[in-house]
Amino acid sequence: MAETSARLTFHRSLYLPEAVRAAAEAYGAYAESIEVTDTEVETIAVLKGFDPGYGDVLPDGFANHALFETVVRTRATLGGPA
Amino acid sequence: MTDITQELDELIYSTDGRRVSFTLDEAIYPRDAVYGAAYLFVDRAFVFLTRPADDRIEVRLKPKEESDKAGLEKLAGEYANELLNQVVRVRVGESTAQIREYYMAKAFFADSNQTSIDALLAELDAEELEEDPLEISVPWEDPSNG
Repeated sequence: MAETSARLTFHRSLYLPEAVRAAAEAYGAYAESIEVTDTEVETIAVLKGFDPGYGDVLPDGFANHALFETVVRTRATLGGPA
Repeated sequence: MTDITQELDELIYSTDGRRVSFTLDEAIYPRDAVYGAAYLFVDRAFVFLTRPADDRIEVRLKPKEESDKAGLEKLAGEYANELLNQVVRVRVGESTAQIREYYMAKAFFADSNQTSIDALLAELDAEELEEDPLEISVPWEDPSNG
């Protein structure tokens, strides 16, 4: 597998760190490694060693999943419907 | 690829030919409304949110299917329309929150409910005390007496 990597930066005011970690778990099978780290204002996900055939779809899908998880978790916290 | 900035009615967006993006003022478009619209678009487009300034949210939309400039413009317009729906939904939710809480409290704690339950229980008790012309209760008695 060719070395392919992507670095995604999620602002913590818009993405929950646990939602980004949920995305990492969901996409773990598609990359050799997915590292998630937090700074004061950002959650950074680094996807390494995924098939270059995926192109941008993998990082884009990862970001979509993180956003979806954020929305669902935020609404669940507020007590509303997902 | 060159970035092109265009105006779609009131929505100013930019596109690089593959994706379309626009910046929203969070004072006008609350984060919950941006989330609500994004939630409805994740099956059609890759949605990415960034924070270019404290009170600004940048929305980037990249269609999952191949799309031309007209398709990107359409996507941006549809997102903007949905965003307005969501803003109204959020505002109505906020303005009616107290009324909802009042009705919920009334539904759970009002005496009138208890009164109606008591009335139903009294009605059931009264039925049980009525005569039993068919003697349906007999099988429950001691068979040695029958």
